[in-house]
Amino acid sequence: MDAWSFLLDGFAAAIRPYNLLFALIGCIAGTLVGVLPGLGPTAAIAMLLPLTTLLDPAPAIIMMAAIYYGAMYGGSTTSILVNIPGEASSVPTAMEGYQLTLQGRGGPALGISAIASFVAGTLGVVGLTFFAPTLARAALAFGPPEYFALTLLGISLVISLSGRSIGKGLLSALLGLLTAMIGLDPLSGVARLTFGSYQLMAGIDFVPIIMGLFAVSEILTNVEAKADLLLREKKIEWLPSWRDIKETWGATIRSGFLGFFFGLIPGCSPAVTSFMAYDMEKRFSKHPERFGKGAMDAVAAVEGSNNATASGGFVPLFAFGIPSGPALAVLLGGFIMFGLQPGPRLMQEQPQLLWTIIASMYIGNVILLILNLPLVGLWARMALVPFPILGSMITVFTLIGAYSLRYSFFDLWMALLFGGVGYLMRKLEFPVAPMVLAVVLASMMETSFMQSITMSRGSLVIFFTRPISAVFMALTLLSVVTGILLLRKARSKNIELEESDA
Amino acid sequence: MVANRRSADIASGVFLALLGVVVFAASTTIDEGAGGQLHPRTFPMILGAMLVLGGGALAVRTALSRPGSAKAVPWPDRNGARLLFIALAGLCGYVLLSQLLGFLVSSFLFVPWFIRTFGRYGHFLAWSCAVGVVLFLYVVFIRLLQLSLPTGPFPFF
Repeated sequence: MDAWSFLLDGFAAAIRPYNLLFALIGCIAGTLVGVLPGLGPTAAIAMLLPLTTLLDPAPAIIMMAAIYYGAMYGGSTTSILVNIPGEASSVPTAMEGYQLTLQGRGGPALGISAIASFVAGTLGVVGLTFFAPTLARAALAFGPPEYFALTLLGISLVISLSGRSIGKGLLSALLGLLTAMIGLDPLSGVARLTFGSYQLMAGIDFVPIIMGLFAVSEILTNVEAKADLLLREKKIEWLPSWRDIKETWGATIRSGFLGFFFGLIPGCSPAVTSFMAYDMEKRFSKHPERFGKGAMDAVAAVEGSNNATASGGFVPLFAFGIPSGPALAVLLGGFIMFGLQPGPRLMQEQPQLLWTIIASMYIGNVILLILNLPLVGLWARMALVPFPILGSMITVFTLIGAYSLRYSFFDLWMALLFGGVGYLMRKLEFPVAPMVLAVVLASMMETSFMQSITMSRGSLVIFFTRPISAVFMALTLLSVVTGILLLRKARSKNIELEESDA
Repeated sequence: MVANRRSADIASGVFLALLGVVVFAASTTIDEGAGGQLHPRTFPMILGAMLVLGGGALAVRTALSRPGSAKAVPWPDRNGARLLFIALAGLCGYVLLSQLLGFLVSSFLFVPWFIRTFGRYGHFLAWSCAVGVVLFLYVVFIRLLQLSLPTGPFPFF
């Protein structure tokens, strides 16, 4: 039987009312945990795992998978409307989407985010359907040197995230890397920069850092400005126009491909691909000057890449039983709980189950679009709530979100501390995004570097002799050089504009 | 001292360089781990040194540049600073109260305090919002998502 026949059989099973019901429950739960800051799909799947023992394997796994990709849809809502990225992957969405909300375009941004998520997410599922085994083998060619080169490519994006000052962007990234060094060394387990604090030994999680840098600093800035409404414009748009959809179409497709292919690599999370998609779109965009001031194509690219990465992550899971992130690791636990071991044997022994899950992902994406689009206008009205009311609620949900991650009050203090840091960075014009990117990449970067050096017995040549690693190294160099050139071009354009204004 | 962008950049450069010195010094005390080609202190030490260089470069380059008409840093006015201080104190108070009384009670007190302090809204609206937030927390976070939030003196929640 070929993929088409398997897929049709899968659809026949997935559209049974019982399976549809659990796909719907998973989509609603995923959207909910995505909207609530701090609560990620990993925690939600882990919480629901014991309850699924009452179900058959197919509806249980359909529901858990739907929570995972549904959370990607929901994650953009608070990022766009109130500048709270609940996950690192939503940070670039917050950077552009919140600016659009301030301009009265929160509704269109949410709509574009839902459409891009649907299109790119579906593209990812198509990739999963037809190319899973072949692509998974390629992804397994990644060893520590390739991972290090990949993280280096990620870090090179700091240049395009730095705005007007590369120097300040690099310093911001250094602060991020330094923050990630606090805690136990990932390989030897030795305590580093903890200054005798037991709480610091567990490290500082990136969720309280993000919540502090974005949400808490936003509250402080609005309080200081005696803001009554978040909106700067009186004219408000509720839904995206055809022009918005047309202008963001290319970004959605490009980010879908990028997200899916990087999603195949175990460990390459949506957080990494969302920054990559943001950078790529800045280079491709006809209006790069809009980036940082509210670029709709950036929102489409980031949200598209998130969802395509989520779909791509299922490829190594289904083909080899390798989870590409914590949420999929919990999902793998779900498979094992039902006595199933994802991998080549499962593909041969239980094709019906596997194809039912894949088919349910197509249906899940449609359900999520239907669920999210009508809600856009409702969510967008949140911007009309006066700041003193909205601010109090943002504070409560942000801090509880930060707490619920590790059930630690220490994380709340960290969120407040980084709120102060974020406030100062805004005032002193230090870009925040490079710091977040560095925090996200630091651990993988250090671990893969250490492992590579051990493999090569201390030689750095290993990064240039392995083909995939060498390609990433070349791309890093290209990214740095073109990033600097683009920045210079943008600067000279600004100077020209300022001179013509004068 | 840091009223304009130029002096702010010098001050932040110096601060980051000093932070780099502290990190570098603290890195020298990191113990050696078992095995591996590199010492666990390698990365923090390199980062400390880079922070010293980067921060120093920012401070020196700005100090050597022409003063010209530097842009002002948008610090808050007197009233803005007062509100900022109150907000920071309120946030710290909320976290402390949550440890003592649990999230439900502390949120019930924090929401109306915030609404009435930073906006001119009546008691009815402020306390209605408080009830709404607490109900949402209870239904969604505690009942639906089964999160074990601290309940303080009200364990029956």
